Amino acid sequence: MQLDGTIVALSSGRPPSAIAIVRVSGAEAVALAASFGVTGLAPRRASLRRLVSPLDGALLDRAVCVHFPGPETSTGEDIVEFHCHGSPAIVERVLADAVTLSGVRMAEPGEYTLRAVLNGRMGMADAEALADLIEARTEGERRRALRLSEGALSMRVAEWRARLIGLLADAESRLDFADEGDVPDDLTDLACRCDALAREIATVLSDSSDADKLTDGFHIVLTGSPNAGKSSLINALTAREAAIVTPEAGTTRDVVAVTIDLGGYKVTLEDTAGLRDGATGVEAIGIARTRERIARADLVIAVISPDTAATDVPADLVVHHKADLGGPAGALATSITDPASIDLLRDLLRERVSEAMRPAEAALVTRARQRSALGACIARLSDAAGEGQLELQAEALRLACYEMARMTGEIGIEDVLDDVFGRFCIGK
Amino acid sequence: MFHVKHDVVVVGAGHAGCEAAAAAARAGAKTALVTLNQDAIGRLSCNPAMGGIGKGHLIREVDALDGIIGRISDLAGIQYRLLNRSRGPAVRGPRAQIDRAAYAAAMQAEIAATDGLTVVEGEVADLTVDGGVVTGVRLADGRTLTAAAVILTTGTFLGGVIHLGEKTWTAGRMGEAAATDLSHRLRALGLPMKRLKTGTPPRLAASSIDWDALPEQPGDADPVFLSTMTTAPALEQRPCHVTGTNVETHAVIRVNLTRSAMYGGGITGVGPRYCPSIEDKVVRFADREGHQVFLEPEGLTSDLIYPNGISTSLPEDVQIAMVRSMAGCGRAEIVQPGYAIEYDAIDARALAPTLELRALPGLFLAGQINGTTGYEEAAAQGLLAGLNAARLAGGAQAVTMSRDVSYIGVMVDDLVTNGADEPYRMFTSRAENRLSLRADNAGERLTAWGETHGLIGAARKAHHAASMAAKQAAVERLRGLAITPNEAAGEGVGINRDGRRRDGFELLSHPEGGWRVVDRFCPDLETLPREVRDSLEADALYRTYTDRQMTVAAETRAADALAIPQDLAEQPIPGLSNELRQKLIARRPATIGEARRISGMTPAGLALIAAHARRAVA
Ligand SMILES: Nc1nc2c(ncn2[C@@H]2O[C@H](COP(=O)(O)OP(=O)(O)OP(=O)(O)O)[C@@H](O)[C@H]2O)c(=O)[nH]1
Ligand SMILES: [Mg+2]
Repeated sequence: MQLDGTIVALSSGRPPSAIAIVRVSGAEAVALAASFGVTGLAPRRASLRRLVSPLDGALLDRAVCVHFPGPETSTGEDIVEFHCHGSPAIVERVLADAVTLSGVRMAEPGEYTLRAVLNGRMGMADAEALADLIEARTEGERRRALRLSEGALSMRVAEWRARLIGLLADAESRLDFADEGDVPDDLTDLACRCDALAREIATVLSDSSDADKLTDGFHIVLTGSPNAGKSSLINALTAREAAIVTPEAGTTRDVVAVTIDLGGYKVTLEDTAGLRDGATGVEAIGIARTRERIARADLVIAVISPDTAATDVPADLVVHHKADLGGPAGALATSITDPASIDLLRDLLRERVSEAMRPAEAALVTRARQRSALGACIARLSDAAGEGQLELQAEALRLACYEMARMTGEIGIEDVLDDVFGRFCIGK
Repeated sequence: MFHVKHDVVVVGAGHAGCEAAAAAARAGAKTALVTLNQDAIGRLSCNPAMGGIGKGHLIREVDALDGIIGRISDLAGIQYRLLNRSRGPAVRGPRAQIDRAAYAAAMQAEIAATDGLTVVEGEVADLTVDGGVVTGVRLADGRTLTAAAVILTTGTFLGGVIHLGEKTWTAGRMGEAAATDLSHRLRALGLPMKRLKTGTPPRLAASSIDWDALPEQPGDADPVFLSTMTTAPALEQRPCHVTGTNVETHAVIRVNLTRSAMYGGGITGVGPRYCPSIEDKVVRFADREGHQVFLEPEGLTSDLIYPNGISTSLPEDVQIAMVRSMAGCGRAEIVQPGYAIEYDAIDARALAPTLELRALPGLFLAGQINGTTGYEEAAAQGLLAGLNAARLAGGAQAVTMSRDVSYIGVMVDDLVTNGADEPYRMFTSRAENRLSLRADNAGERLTAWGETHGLIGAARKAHHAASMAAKQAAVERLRGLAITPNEAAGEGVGINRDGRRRDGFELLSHPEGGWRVVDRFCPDLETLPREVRDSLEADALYRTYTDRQMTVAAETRAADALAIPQDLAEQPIPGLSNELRQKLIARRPATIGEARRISGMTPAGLALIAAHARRAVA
């Protein structure tokens, strides 16, 4: 990624929209504003100004303009923002005119955040969290990313790092000042303290083992005899005509997956081929896939109806469908003729999902990179706890510090950058 | 006027100067050692001891390069203790109490007997410079000495000012004149100078101390010497004694703090945090009720005692009260009061890693002038400066020492990269490769390197070759061992019964193993010299970690190798903080590794520089 020059990009959502924010960051930001006829902006004050084209002097828009002088800005550089009217034509023209100015170019994806990190305005873990925040597709992901971007992980890491350095300093001072009588020689608790720190990191790590669940989503598989009404039920639950419904048994052959947002979580409902013995050909393949899905599902719902044979697939939930045709009293019953019964089932599913997703939402460690650095750090701390010689304990602690430095990006920051910033969209 | 031509002129005959002069002469340069007074050659200005943790490592490295500090120390050693004996071999440091008079005499004899080395008495008043290159020195009496290279090792003499209570006077050491003209000259050259300070305790009359009241601290029964060439103590051995400050001592100091030169505000220089004055200790560790004080003999024939741990710049009357409050010292007499001394040092970032001043070719600096403290640190720099000065005179390329291989390399790299904000002392924690940089393997690390640069004399060469051959043979013997878990169990060593045979190194490093067990299987190794056995045992003990360290080092080296173009500092690097930018311009790191070690470098700043460097390369 190129890192010099003044960058410009649309940093709000795609027009048409109420307003569109064009953000300029870099040494030439103020000069760029002047080229658009905007001068004398008071720092951090919004002023309504006329934007004129630096090329032909045409009036482009009346925009609210703000100047944030560096380095106390999000990127650490001078920033100017034009809050334009949210029309595609205006935004395109402003950007096109801006990049004709010398030293000004379009920002690359993630470049604003990259500059913030490089200018020391943001730590690595926080930038990763911001990347997650921007990418968040569900309320659950957003909540987690927000918590992380507010420093939930970076604060823990800073604390761990400080303790690690404290442990190392205690060991080193015993080694280097042994002859001076001014450092107490006993360091009996070093192993315990190493162990305690290792356990603490390990707990956070294991609590985060489900972190990917939030992105993968919760998987519900509907199963049952042919014609039990599985496809109808999915369509009703998702309020979509995703699956084909016919009175013919064996309509659904392949797995049909529908993803919805349920209570802020990504939930995938999978409609499957009805299970019956003696099926052949395409239907048999479909049944094999059904069994495969059942094995991997987070929740299996067996759909039973009075007009079809019962199946004995182990399920987490049994739904007595086609309740309008009868069925046992007091059971969980649904019917497409009764919207309230569908809502009830949806509420029940929402509860089950949020219960299952809560640990994933609470996860602090969300990336493979972080997991491997912290895992290695735990291993070195355990070494330190187990070594008999102080200089070997110190050595293990040095290696633990090295791994922690990889976690924070102090070491190997270059490896981290692509991973983090490759995923941003332009204007962030 | 009178002219003498030399290859190398060394100014100052302390530990840096003597080592520099000896190294330059060994490397084949016609060398002059200029000192105010011949009798002051090899004088120990402060404590009568050599070595210690980190410092002992440095001495062994200088010794491995056939330097003189270790050998001369052993000619004057009156007590040996291996510090950190209870810890592993990597952090053990040999240390010796030194007979001051014997040391100076042995050093003077050594210098006199060194081929190609002459001593010149006089005060260096000025450097002669021609076309931006140093061409020699001018003495206060008008003589000039021309040389291809000049090494300044001025210790505390450059702009030296002594503080004793409310009194202040210019001096290089108690009773010796400071080098004032040279100080003015260096400032006039525009070199980046700063003031540092150090202190020394009062000297006590041995006959005035009640020895029976004090516990004795004997030397080790089987002494470990500072030079690997030494086989037995040269002098009669003496114990030290232990006393200490107490609540009363601290009260005396507290009441009189404002009369201390340091606390009265008389001193602007920065002192060593790691060798604090007793005033400092009392203020900084206010909750401590006492500090240990070692009463060290200054020599077999000397009546002086050096009370290690109470360096001070309090007025003499307070010093007496303070000393007499300590156990065994109720009637102690002070023969020479303690004092603090402020002196000029150069910001070592102005030096190349060869110890030559970048801005003034031909001028090398070593010792306290570079911001270090300690005899051992001084000697180690002296050796490298002496070697490079001789190479410059002989038209050879200058050499540098890597921090991966030696403490000398660690120290020089730290100094030229970060300078020294406070007097710099060596610690084992400064070395990333601590487990490999040991006192026991200094020869293995450095002697061959020294040989290629002409530093190693015949006796050392033979000694080194013999011990390397013995070690190599032993290594093969140990590798060749194949002991079954059953056989090991027979010797009391419990190993997993996995059917895998263990080699000698595995037995050596096993908690229940060691030489005791290995000797049962290889009785022939029992007769190996102790130093070889120790070194093999250490290699075995640290093998897992040194292997892992090599991986980390390789990773770091790969990342650090990225070259930074010379002109990168001038290019606009948007977002690089002004502070880091200034550092970049001042330091001009050649690689990302050098940039990483600049103090105050942030991870973010480094990534930014790396990004620009990579783009410039592409
Ligand atoms: N009375 C009544 N009929 C329903 C209800 N839900 C579905 N049906 C009917 O039952 C028949 C089968 O419905 P589908 O949804 O296709 O059943 P399926 O389980 O997906 O069947 P296969 O895909 O063939 O396995 C269709 O004729 C639907 O109209 C319901 O709640 N009440
Ligand atoms: Mg169907």
